[in-house]
Amino acid sequence: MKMNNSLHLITRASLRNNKFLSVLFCLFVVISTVFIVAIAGILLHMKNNIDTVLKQHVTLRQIVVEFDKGTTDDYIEDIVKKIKKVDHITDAYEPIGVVGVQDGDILKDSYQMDRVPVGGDLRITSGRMIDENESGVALVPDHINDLDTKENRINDIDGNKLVGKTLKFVDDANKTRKMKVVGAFSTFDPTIDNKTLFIPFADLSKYKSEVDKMFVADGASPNGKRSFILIVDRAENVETVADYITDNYIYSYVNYSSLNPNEYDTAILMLMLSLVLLVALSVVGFYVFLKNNIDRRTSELALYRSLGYKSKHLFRIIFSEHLIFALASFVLGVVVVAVLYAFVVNPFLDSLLGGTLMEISLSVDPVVTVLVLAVLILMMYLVCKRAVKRSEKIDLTVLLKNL
Amino acid sequence: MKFSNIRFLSKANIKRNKYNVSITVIVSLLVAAVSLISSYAVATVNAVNEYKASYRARSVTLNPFLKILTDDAIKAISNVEHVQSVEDVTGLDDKYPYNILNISGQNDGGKRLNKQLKTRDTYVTVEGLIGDEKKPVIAGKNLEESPTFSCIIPNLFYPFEDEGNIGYENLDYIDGTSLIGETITLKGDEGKILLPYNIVIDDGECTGYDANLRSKEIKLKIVGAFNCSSNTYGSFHHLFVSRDTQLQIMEKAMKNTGIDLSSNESDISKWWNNTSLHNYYVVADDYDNITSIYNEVSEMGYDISSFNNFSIKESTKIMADVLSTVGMFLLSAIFILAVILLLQSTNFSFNSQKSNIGLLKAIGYKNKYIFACMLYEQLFLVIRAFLIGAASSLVFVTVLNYIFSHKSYGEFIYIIDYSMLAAFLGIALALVTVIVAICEIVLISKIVKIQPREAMSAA
Amino acid sequence: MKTIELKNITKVYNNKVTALDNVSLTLCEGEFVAVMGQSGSGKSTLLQIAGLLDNCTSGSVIINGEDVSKLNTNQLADVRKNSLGFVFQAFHLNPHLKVYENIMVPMLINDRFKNKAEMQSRAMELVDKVGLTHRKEHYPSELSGGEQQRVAIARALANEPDFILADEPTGNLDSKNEQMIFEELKKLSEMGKGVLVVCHNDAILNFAEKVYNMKDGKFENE
Repeated sequence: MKMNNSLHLITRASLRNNKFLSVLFCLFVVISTVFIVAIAGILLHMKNNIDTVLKQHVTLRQIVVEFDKGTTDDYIEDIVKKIKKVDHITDAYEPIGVVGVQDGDILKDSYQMDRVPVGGDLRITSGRMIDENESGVALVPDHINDLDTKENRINDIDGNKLVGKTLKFVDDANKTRKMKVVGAFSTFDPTIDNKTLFIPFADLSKYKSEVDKMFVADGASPNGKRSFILIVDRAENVETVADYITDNYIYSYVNYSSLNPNEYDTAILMLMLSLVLLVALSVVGFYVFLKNNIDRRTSELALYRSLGYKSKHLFRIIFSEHLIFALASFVLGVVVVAVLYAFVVNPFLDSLLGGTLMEISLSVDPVVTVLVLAVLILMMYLVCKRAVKRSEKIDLTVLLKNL
Repeated sequence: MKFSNIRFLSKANIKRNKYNVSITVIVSLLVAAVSLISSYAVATVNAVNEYKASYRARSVTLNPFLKILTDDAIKAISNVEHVQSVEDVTGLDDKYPYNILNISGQNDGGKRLNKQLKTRDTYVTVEGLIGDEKKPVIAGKNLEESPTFSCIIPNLFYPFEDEGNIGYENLDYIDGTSLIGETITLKGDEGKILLPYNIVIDDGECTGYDANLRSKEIKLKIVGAFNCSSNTYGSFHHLFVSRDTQLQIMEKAMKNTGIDLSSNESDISKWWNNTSLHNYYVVADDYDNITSIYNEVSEMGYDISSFNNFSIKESTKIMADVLSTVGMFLLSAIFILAVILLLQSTNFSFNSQKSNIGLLKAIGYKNKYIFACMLYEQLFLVIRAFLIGAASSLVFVTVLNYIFSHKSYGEFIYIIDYSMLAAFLGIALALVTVIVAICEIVLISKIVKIQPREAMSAA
Repeated sequence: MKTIELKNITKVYNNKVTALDNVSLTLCEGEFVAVMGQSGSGKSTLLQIAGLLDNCTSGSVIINGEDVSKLNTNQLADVRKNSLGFVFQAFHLNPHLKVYENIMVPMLINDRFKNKAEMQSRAMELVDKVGLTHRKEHYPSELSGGEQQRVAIARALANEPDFILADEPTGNLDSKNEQMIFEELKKLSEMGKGVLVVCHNDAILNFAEKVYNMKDGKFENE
């Protein structure tokens, strides 16, 4: 116990003795912490976004199966039922779209009506999502370029302001359809265009079958070519599942997507490597600071030895001294990062990536924080250990003569 | 004190300097960071800027579908603010897929391609340059200097059909420059060329139709090779010809199909001869002015596209922004840390040499000699560290360039030009030299203040 | 005659501690003078002032007839280069230079030496003089304490100074080496150099012609 009290005494005296260098050390720890934690947080969030949002985007998890013209509905239904039970298939649907020409005062152009994307992430910007049990409702894009052929102009319309209004369309079957706008969706996803309205599937099927009946009545043959889209649980499984379905049921192929997450991956890799350089520099910096601080006190350590202090006591003195500063500086650094995120980084990233698939909002990542702290403490431990070990080799008589 | 003497003494001091390694590591890392981060950031930003400056990225299509485009209309649109020009693109604005029948095989490149033509299906497009659009070559001659029925070819030429490789990864490109001087024989895919044209229908409305023209063989002389990248118009299967050549090709195809352009009897000949029914490109003076042109021309009641005629992926633009901003922030962070560390290291290094400085002063060395020795010491370390950092950067870039050259076409923007890397290495060298020199200059006052007596007691 | 004259030297540190109190001393060429005293007596301070390593609070230092108090830093450095040679307790050899290279260090700033060959030739001469010919290619870490001090003495002679000033030259040595070093220094005075040694060891009495005892900043002999 007595020895512990002496050590605290010495630690406190050391802290007072080396004020300037201690302040400099603290400043360095704060700056390094801010840079590393902030940038690592940004990159990890981006990487996570790419892995979860981009790489698993629904258009990268789709397989197409096509049934030739003349195939009976019963056969198609039977095959699709079996395919739905295949491992990793989460859903299967027939993409049907009906084109309707606006016949009202609100919108003037023609629009595709479709079902809400299966397996995707539709972001509602105002109003609400449609309920599949509903009828006569629709979701509109939040931003619409509506072509008015009579006035020969294109009008920019804010879809959010259409919520609550009723739209009237005439479809290919010459039937007038009314639908109440219950919500608007964001077109942030590049695979969703602003010429599509989403309506309940039941309504869509009904409109489609009426259009088809009309075409058959006009002489088109029934049982035309039909295709289905299968949704796979994860993008990594798509090729395997497509091969399995081709081997066992019907020819299938991976649906083309305009997204290429690999491009994002490359840029993130570049930034990660830059972060590694930054971390390496910080590690060197810590080493330089710690080494210098301790080297300056080699004589002091030798003196303590001559008094009977052992290596473990010396280690405790040096390590605890630096740990106090490092921890305090680290905490300050993390607070600075949190403030930076809130007032600088997030607004900036929003201006850069807001409204795109890559949009992110940052907060201090506990894993990164703990990791950086762990590296810091480990480094300190190793340098202090080495310094104490070096001091064991000094010839005390020579050293003390030169004091 | 002679330079050789300074060198002699400094070299010994370098060996005894405990901070050698840390200074070397810091400078190497800084050099690597400056050269690599800057190179990749600039490469992506340059790619986007090059795209934005390109002719087709600054142009949008003007159609006669809402209102026909009389001479007065064209004049009025030309006078809209930020419109650089309005160009008639009739016969020029669509991509016509062709098959390669044969290449003359005068040199090795041509002979190799001929061999491959026997076993692989081909797919190329031929496009005519529009207005004052330029397509500079990196080898051979430009189209402006060449006769008609000349063409220029991409430096990375891939004329094959590759159904299974949607991402165009790992293609065995042909060096386009090896085909300069060859004559390439083409024919429209399935013997046809698709021609979109416009007519006025009964209710006075203008609408678009497509016609299939009969394609005969076309021989084009390859006169040059252009740089092919995903951020400039013209990919690895594009051949470019002059405007006149393209129009002659179209006229010949129409003649082959039995369309008499002088008669005005067919819809196509009526369209061909009536400029009011043509499609045009409206070229903006700047990429960022496209929206204002679109708004103004739409207000005038004309059918103008809001999308430019050549777009790169949103992901490329986003990543250029991210790499440049986050990358620059990273670089600043590294720079700040490196400066702090260099200041500290030179300071600590100086402190550890106080007794040596004192001895030299005692022997009779003047402050300027001591400073000269210390400066030489630091600059020697800097140069050595620079070489390590530069070598690391070079290896890194070489490896990555190799990897990216085998990835998808869109990732070619990450292939770094070695001259750019060299430029940034030069900047890095200047930077570290200045930083270290400043660190040493800061120490001058400390050197002067040291009394030999004080330094001696700090043994 | 070449001399170092210290006249009425007083040195006060921080306006509190009087290290030297009105001390005078003359060192002539060919003389071997020892200044002895306890720790804190002011003997090292005296040597530092004599060697122009420090300045005095009052008094004058005259070297070869020139009052050095009016000289600027560069001129003082020139005087040290041309007229004085130092030997220190802690040797202060560069561990990364060989024996003969360490001896060359003072010659690097002396325009008298036109090239490296001349410096090496002079260094070899001095190596022979101190009896270390067989060790000339060795590094200081490979030498004994006595040998290192002999190298330091050889270095002190590099620019053919008129005077040698030694501060506790045998402080880190055993008695055998101590004798050897004093003998070397004695040889130098016999060669015509003025030798001033600061020491607290009585062994010096066998070699020095004049001995000054210092106490509390003053000579006891006076």
